[in-house]
Amino acid sequence: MNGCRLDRWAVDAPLTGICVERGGRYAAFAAGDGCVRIVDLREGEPALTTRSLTRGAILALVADCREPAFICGADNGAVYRVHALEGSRELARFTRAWPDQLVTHPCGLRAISEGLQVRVLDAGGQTVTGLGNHPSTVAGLAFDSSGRRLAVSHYNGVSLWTLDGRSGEPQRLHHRGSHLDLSWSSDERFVVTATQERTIHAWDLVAGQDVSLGPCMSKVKSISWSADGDWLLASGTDTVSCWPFSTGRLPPAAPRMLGRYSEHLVARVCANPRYALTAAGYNDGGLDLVSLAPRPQRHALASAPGRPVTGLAWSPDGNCLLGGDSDGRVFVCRFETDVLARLAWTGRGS
Amino acid sequence: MTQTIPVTVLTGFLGSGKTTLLNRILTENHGQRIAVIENEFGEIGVDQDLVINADEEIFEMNNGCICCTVRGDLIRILGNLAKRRDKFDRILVETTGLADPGPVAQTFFVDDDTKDSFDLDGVITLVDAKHAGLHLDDSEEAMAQIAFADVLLINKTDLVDADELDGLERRLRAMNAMARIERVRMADAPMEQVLDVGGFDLRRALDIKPGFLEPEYPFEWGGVLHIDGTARFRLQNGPDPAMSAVLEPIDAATPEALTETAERVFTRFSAPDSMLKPGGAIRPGETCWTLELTGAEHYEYVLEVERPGLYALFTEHMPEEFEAGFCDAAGATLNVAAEHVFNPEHTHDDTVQSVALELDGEIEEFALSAWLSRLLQTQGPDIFRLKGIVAIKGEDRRFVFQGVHMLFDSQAGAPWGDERRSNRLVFIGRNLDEAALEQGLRDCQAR
Repeated sequence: MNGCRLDRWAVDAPLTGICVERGGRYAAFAAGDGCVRIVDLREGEPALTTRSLTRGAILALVADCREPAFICGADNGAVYRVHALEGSRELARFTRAWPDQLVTHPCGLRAISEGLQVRVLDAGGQTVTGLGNHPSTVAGLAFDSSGRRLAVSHYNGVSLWTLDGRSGEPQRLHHRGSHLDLSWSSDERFVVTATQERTIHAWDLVAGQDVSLGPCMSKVKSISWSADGDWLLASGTDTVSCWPFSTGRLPPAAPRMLGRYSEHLVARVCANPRYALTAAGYNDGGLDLVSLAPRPQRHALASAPGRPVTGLAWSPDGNCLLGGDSDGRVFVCRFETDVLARLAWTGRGS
Repeated sequence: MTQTIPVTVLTGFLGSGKTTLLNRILTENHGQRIAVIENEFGEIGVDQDLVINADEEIFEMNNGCICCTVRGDLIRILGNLAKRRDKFDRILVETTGLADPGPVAQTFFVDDDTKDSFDLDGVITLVDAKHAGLHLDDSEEAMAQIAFADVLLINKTDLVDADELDGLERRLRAMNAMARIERVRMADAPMEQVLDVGGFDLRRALDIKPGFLEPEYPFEWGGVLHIDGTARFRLQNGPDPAMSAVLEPIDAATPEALTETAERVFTRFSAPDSMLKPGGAIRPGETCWTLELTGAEHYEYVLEVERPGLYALFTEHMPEEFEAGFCDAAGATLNVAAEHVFNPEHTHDDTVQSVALELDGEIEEFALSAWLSRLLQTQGPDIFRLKGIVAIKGEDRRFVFQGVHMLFDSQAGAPWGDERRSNRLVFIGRNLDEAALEQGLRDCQAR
């Protein structure tokens, strides 16, 4: 594809986490070898700086509340804060639980799964509160935009906690089965989860309704909202499933199927935060950019064969895409101004 | 292409020796790096880097399959272990003593991520030779652990006698005809018996050879006597007003000779009985004698032979049930030179059993798939495991399949070539109707 610069590295361990810090300048790759590798996205010839944290695996990585830093959980039970420039320190350590679910909010809160509980830390690393006990090990976490509510997914539904300093009972959103990854819609009307049953479950918090979407062809590993908040994108089928949520009513109309059809399913989706397009990573290592227009355009960034894509992330300004696969091949793709805008625009029709 | 990681599941009741075996596996020099997922906290005595403690989280699947449960904790832990897959070669999952292995096995059939990165290699069930009988009498989970096993390790065999051990093995065999049964003392099974079993690997399912059950003998006891002309068989009232008996010459006074002779006289017990009143003579030969044991307190029968020597007497019941004894013509006590107990466990009528089907010829694919899906829909909760190798009409290769409850998995196997085409199925389950299963398979036969 013209108008972009693609840099690739091989880190020789499965990619387990990927993100750009909140300032948008530094990106990080976490891997199964216990290292976090940082790259400066503004450098002309980008290079990876490796931070070795543990002998085990890094399980998850997110941007920390404040720039330019990340936090990650490892399978030795430790949560590390990794500063892009200054070094790393241990933020917390759990004895009988893996911190494999982490979320942060710019207001200074970090929520980390600890078995059946969720530990909430403040900006200084002090424990603010412990939320629990959930019916099963916590499988997904998501703050709302204000950082006042935290959604926690688990077996048989989602718990919505209000973080107002008073410990109380959460609002329970019930639905049978195991709920995994979860996400708020941008207007915070909907909470959606990916489930063990290969479906997506959506709750309408205003109308008090809920609905199951799918089932997909395999377990849904990632869900993502389009920049305008109108579409819920999901992996798990042979194209990107694109569910319309703009009407504000459940159930949504039938999904649009975007991208290539092939025997290899979509493993990861990640909507661009600024333009009407999404990145899609496939089980064979293929990678596409797909516009969300009525006549969608598809551009292949990488073609098969390879290993399943295990992570995708955009920089906050939407001009830089990062990704990697289960063999540890990672990339940074920086787009020139207007390339993505044009791609999103084409196919809009008259 | 990245290799999948084999997973071995260790089950067994508390005290059956799971931890002993686990520690042996971890200390033995087999050159493999093993990660352990433990459900009973802190029992491993070995300093091990890769021991993960898990609390069992059983998730019901919302997929319309009523018995489908998976281990949520296992999905999560295996998913995280896959992130450092280069650090180990194999995973061992130890279940709690009271666990039904069903959800563990089903996890490997149902969960996409688990299937992609891991292979269920086998279910190893440790059986406590001394207490297994008790557990099996009152625990559904114990029965499920036997039913799911690829390998049954009867442990602590030094604590029971040979007859008890034979009885237990027979009972286990009747429940699970597919598992390999091994006897061990201190859970000291050779590693190759426990690791790399391939129990769920359809590519390795080349043939199905259910362990043939020892026949159910129509007699409970056999004893060797040295008879010089005549001897007397004295009895009292027992649980039955009559008892069948057969007398037969025998070469040696050993249990082995008795088992051998037992095969010879087996069919005589099904022949019409020759009623014998007290005082009558039991002679060797084709006759099966029925001794009348009613109407008095003491009974005496004569054992009469033409040539002096060793003779085996087989009786329908145990002699002690009738306070029975032997003496010679002069009235001196005659000792039993060797004895063997047949069917000592014949009172166990376990609800879990194995049914093996064998049918020559070819199978109609459509009929087979309809029959199996109907069967699993209706009886899935009762079917622990199912394996089959069949010859589909018009197909050059074997059709190999397996099932766990309602879940099903199949693939094309090795070509038949010149071999005689035949079909073999084994079911392990509760309340199995052998006749109906046999008819079901026969209805699928291609014409």
